[in-house]
Order: sequence, then structure tokens, then C-alpha cells
Amino acid sequence: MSEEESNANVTFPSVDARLLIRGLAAMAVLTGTGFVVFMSFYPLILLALGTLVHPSLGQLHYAFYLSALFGAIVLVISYFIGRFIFSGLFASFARRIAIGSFLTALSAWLVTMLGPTYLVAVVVYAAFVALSARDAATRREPN
Amino acid sequence: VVDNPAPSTSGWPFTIIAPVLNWLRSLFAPVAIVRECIKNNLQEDMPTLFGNYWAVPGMAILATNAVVLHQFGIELKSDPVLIALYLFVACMRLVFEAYVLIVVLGLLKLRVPQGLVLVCYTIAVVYAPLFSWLSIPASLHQHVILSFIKSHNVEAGELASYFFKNIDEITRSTGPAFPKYWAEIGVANWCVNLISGTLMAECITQVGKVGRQRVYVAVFLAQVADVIPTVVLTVVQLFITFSYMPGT
Repeated sequence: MSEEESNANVTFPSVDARLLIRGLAAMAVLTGTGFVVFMSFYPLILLALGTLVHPSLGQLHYAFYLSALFGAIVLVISYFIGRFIFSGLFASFARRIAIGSFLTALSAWLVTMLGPTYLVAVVVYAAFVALSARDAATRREPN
Repeated sequence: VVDNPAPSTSGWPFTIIAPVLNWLRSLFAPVAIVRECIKNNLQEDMPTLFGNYWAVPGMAILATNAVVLHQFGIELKSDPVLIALYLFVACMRLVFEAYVLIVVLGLLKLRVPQGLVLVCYTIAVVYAPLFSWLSIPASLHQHVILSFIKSHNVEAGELASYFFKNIDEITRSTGPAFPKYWAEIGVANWCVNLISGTLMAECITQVGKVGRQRVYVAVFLAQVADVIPTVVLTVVQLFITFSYMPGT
């Protein structure tokens, strides 16, 4: 088999500056989301594990919720800036994950204020993921 | 017209310098390296892919380890068994992380041939030594702790239990866990991760002809999941180092 034949079905990748910037923006939004989601649920992990090691660690969870909330607000603002600059490719994708992170952090923060139960945060997040999945299934995103 | 003979590219300097230069070139043009691999059909020739593109970053990681170990009286180059163990751990780290990506792509129902994923993963491999260099301060601190424990005549089997029992004393004696510039190092680490992840995701999207958004999510999730093999292999490596560390 010649080289051309063997590679006939494989596309040679090329990444221009515009695609790279959009990709970096998408990756940054994903990382930010990961951070916010992790921070939102971090107190749960901390309370489950950390307090066993050292009881004073459990007192940190309010600070983590606040930082998660501020992180989510920054993420939503970043999304609007990002959407203004990079419309199209990642707009709906960024919207879904930014709103999801914001709701997660907000609900986690509210639950912390109301009492030490994390059920509402988990339910809100699960509902959002289910709605997003249904939305994605019914409306095909531009690739 | 007399043709000038082509310069000779055989001999030992070229066998060492050429792959190193190739790796340095790949740092600045990683997508070109993926194109080159596909052009040479390396997605179906893993030994050549590993030999030509993965070996030099692996050796660079090994050299970084050798420099750190030298500070604690362990000469990596003088012990073939230790070299083999360290090389094995470094290779396992790269291979495990590549297969984590393949598994995550599979879980998200993205059907990309394994060979092509490994070719695209070469981007992460060429950047791997940068992570190794950025982790030198943390690595030095871990070895300081090991050295402190070794000085108390602790056996390798008792390492974990001794560490958790005496964590306060160890922290007091070995100083703060984070080096002076840990925040800057973290940001640099994150930037390298972001660039390599983005380039890898773009290459997988284009080469595999699959949905861009799901590939980005897969690459991000794989980067998060890589924490598990990294932590496990770091612990294994620390146990090996502890066994070879000279006592007082």
C-alpha cells in the first residue's frame, strides 16, 4: 500500500490562530467549570474526609462556597465577554456549562446558608444536566 | 556541474543530537509533528512512533529525575536496575495517561482509532518534560521528607505509617510544603496543560472527524482523570527512591 493510499481517509490537522484562540477559550471555560463544580462540592468531601483528620478543617467550607460562587460569577461574565468575541463555535456550549456552574455554586451557597444539607444542590445540578441533555438531543449543535 | 555530496548524517553525534533537535522543534510546532506522523503512517507503527517521538521526552524526564536524585546521594546513572525502574515508571505514566484519554473518548462514544489518538497524544508527550521541570521544587521537597524519615532508620514497609503518625514533626522539620513560587509554578503548569490540551483536542477532532465539543470535554475529563495514575505512580517512585536512599 502506498503512503497516499494508506493515508487517504485521514485528514491532516491544521490549527490556525483563530481556531487556537477559540479552543483555548473553550478549554479555559471547561477548566473554570471544573474548578467551580469541584469547589461547590469540596466542602462535602472535606466534611466527609477532612474533619476525620482535623476537626478545624470543617470550618473552612463557608469560605469555599463563597469562592465557588465568586468563581461562577466570574465565569458567567467571562462567558458574555467570550460570546461577544467568539460567537458561533462555542457559544451554546459555553452558555450551558456557564449557567450550570452558576446554578451549582448558587444552590450550594444557598444550601449552606440554610443548613448543612447538600441535597438541593445535587438535585438542582442533576435537573440542569438532564435538561441540558434533552436540549442537546433535540437541537443539534453546530460543530 | 558537480553535485556537492550531501553532509553525512551518520555517526554518534547525529544519533543523539538529531532526536533532541526534533523534540525541540516539536515543542514549537506540535501540530506539524502530528501531520508528519500521519504522513509517515505511524498510527499503524507504534514502535517507530515511540522510538522517534516519545523516547526523547521520556529521557528528558529521566534526566530531570537524575538531577533531583543526585542532590540526595543517589546516582541514577551508576545503577542499571534503578534506571530501569525509573524508566518503567516514566513510560507507564505516559502510557496510562494516553489510555485514560482513549477510555474517556470511548465513554463519550467518540469512535477514533487508537493509533490516531496515540499520534495526537504525542503533543502531550512532547510537553511532558516541561511538567517534569516545573515539578522540581515539589519533588525536591518530597525527597527532603524522605531523607528526614530515612535518617530515623525507618524501613520502606513502615514509610506510610511513620509519615502519618509523625506528620506534625515532619512538617516542622522539613519546612513548608509549598515552594516559594508555587502559585507562579501552578499558573505555568496550567498554561502548558491548556495549550497541549487544546492542540490535542483540535487534532483529534480533525483527524477523527468527530464532534468538536465532545472531544474538548473528553480531553478535559482525561486531564482530570490523569491525577489518579499520576498520584499512584508518584507514590511508587517515592517508595523506590526511599529504598535506594542512603541511611545515616
